[in-house]
Amino acid sequence: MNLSEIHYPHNLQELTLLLEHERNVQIIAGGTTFGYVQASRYLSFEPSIAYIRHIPELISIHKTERMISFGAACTLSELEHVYPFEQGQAKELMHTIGTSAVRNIATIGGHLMYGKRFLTLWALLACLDAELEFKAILKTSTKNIWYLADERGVPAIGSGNLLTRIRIPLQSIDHLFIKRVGGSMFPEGDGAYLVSAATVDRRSIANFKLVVAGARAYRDYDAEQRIISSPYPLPARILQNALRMYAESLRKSNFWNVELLLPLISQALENLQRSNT
Amino acid sequence: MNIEFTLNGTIQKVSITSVERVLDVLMRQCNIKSLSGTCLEGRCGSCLILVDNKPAYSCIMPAFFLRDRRVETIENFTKTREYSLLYSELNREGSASCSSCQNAIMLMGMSLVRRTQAPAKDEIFDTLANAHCDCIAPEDFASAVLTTMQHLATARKTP
Repeated sequence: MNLSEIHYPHNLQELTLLLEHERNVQIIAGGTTFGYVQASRYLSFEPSIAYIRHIPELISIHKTERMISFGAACTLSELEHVYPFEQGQAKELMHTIGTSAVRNIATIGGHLMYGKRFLTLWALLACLDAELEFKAILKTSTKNIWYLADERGVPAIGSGNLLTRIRIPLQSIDHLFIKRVGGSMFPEGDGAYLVSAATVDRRSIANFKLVVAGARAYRDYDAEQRIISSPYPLPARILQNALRMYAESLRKSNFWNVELLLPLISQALENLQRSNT
Repeated sequence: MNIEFTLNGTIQKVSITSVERVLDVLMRQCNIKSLSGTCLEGRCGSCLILVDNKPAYSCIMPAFFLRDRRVETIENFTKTREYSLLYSELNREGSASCSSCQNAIMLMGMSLVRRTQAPAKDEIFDTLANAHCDCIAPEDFASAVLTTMQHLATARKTP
């Protein structure tokens, strides 16, 4: 039973100073990294802990005309009533994470920075081009959510990264397709989520992304571009072509089950075809 | 380290360490009898509490989360009129739950009942799900909660 020193920084400045002075501080706001995971009576943490739920900058939600931005220490419950989680399938997806007693504790920052796999909301946020703000003592940087994956799609969270905010551009979601494959997502399940999202004008697709995320994350940029550059509804040969591209890249990844995912991608594209009717 | 929080309306000063769970502090230091920690994974509902008015599993929360929070357990409600009303409504629906989940069911019910606006059924079902109880029908629970709220609203209007 190792006791840890507990810090309660009051603001971001105090937190960044603390991180500067003590390299191995474990940042805690919710319970994602230990809630289900630590089944022994006594909890175990790094020698130094920073509890950040009190920091105002990390629990605020701002909405502008073009984007929504929320602090990394917002609980999943606090995000249920904001874009993109406020309605329909996105809300159902949020509810699959756990009961409200879990969602009242787990934070979006912990969800994204889990590190061992990509959790439930990751694929949806990747489809919506979420950007992450990281802070250090003298530097603030903004990265696309794919920064959390390496070139093979494996989770790659560098140490010393303090995630402060998540920003999502506000856009019309005319097509949203969500399917879970495999078993549980958390903490070590073999599940993954396939999510595709698109903004559809009358005769064209303004934005389309299809992401699969679980133990790894997958996206075929070229297939997406093929779909976006085609007229809408997509001609049959473009659909076939896109499916072939997905099949090839899935096989090339040498990780994903092509026979399982390809029919789901086909369903997602069929759903896309119907989204503007 | 010493921290302060509000438990059932009273300020509590407790001494905690990083390894302790909220459940342990409430049971051992604050003498709360209504909780039990069966699973330690937030899967059984027997450790449910309200933190800042929201349901939470005390077994998956470290004790240092408590600082400056407002915590309520079912002990805060048992002597209230709302509790008696909800309890009799649940009995009337034939939905009295078993002894192992009764505290959690009643606490979830009280968290809904004390609101001023009637919650949607989905929200009631979502709240009930926290208790992980199989011995009560969600529809009956919702009906008891909504009827209790109506009784209370009528009582408030009556001079």
